Amino acid sequence: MADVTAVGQATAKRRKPRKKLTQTQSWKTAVRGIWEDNPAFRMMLGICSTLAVTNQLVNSMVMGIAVTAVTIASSVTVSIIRNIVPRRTRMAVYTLVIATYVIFVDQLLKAYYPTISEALGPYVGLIITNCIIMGRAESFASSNSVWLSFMDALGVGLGYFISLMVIAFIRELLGFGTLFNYNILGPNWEPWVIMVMAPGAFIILGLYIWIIRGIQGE
Amino acid sequence: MNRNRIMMIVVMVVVAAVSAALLGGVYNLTQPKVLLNREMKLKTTILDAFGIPYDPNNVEQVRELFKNSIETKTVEGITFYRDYVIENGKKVYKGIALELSGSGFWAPIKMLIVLEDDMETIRAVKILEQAETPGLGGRMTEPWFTAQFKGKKIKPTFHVVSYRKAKGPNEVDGITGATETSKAVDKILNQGTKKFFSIVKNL
Repeated sequence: MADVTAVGQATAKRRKPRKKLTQTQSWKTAVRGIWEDNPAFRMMLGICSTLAVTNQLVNSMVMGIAVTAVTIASSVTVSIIRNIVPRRTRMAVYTLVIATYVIFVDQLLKAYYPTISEALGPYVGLIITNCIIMGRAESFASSNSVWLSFMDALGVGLGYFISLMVIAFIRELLGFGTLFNYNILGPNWEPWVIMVMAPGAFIILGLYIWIIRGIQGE
Repeated sequence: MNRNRIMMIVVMVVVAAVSAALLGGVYNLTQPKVLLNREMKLKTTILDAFGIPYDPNNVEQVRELFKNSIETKTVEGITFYRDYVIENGKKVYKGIALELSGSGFWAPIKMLIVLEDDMETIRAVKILEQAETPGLGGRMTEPWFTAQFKGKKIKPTFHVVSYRKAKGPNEVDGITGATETSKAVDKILNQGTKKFFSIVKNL
């Protein structure tokens, strides 16, 4: 009697319909980093680099890709070693891991994309200090599976990338009259120089956060 | 020492060792390319400054051209490059480029200034090294900035003007939002050329 019940239960499990992609935990983890937990307008992480690189679209794009790559690599590594790292030294270990990947990326850029490396200059090295990476390592990767940590890092990285591109679009267009260094607004455009500098960065970031949070509703 | 402390030290040492090994490996693999990039950048910039054509993908050609048409000399700390051709077995010099450097806003700026035979008119200015703020001072490498210098005169003085539009043959416009970088370029150009003219009386 018991055998039949067991077989019945097993068959019932197999017959459950496959979850839609958008319902899986992996998908939800990734998408969360783009909307509900976007680093720029929800978690308030990575603000310094956002303010710094968004006066040009090219720099923002490279920065977004670099930060996403490092976040993924770091989160995955932290997740793999999460059970052997003692709690007291975890931040020091995470910093070592993050710094290693950033220096790796920096060296790759210097060797194979020297013009981009020169254009970004010190900002690549400063990715080590980007709070997004340490934030996700500490609050997610240190206590979640490797796959979910990967999805989380991917989502957060994408969210950061999108925020950078939106802000850079406005700042470069108004501040230089160009998009990706192509002149869009013509030679008679008087550039809004403030958009190129720190005050403009703060203003546009503030407006961006305000508008999107307004859309999200509290 | 209890087990926790030992684990802390072991984990830190292992992670540090793995990291160092990985980065050491990457460095060894990429450093030759990085050095090549640097060498090519210097040589192609100088060839550009003298208007000598080359194929940017042909490393050997660049090296050959540089060896056969550029003479490098350093006098009292100032390095300068002279572009020459061989006529009747003798070197005939066609142009001169001075390597000038000084402190920028964040880090040293190294640039090249190419002068015409009259030692007064600027043919070109090229930036060799800089680490100024990307998007602000960093724009000094952009063509619009360096192209301004062509045809301007370095004597009696030269100004990179930030607070108004540049007027006349002794001024160029600075970079908006990068006043300190513009001032640094001004200083490097003036001090460097003055020093050169005082040292090298005859070439």
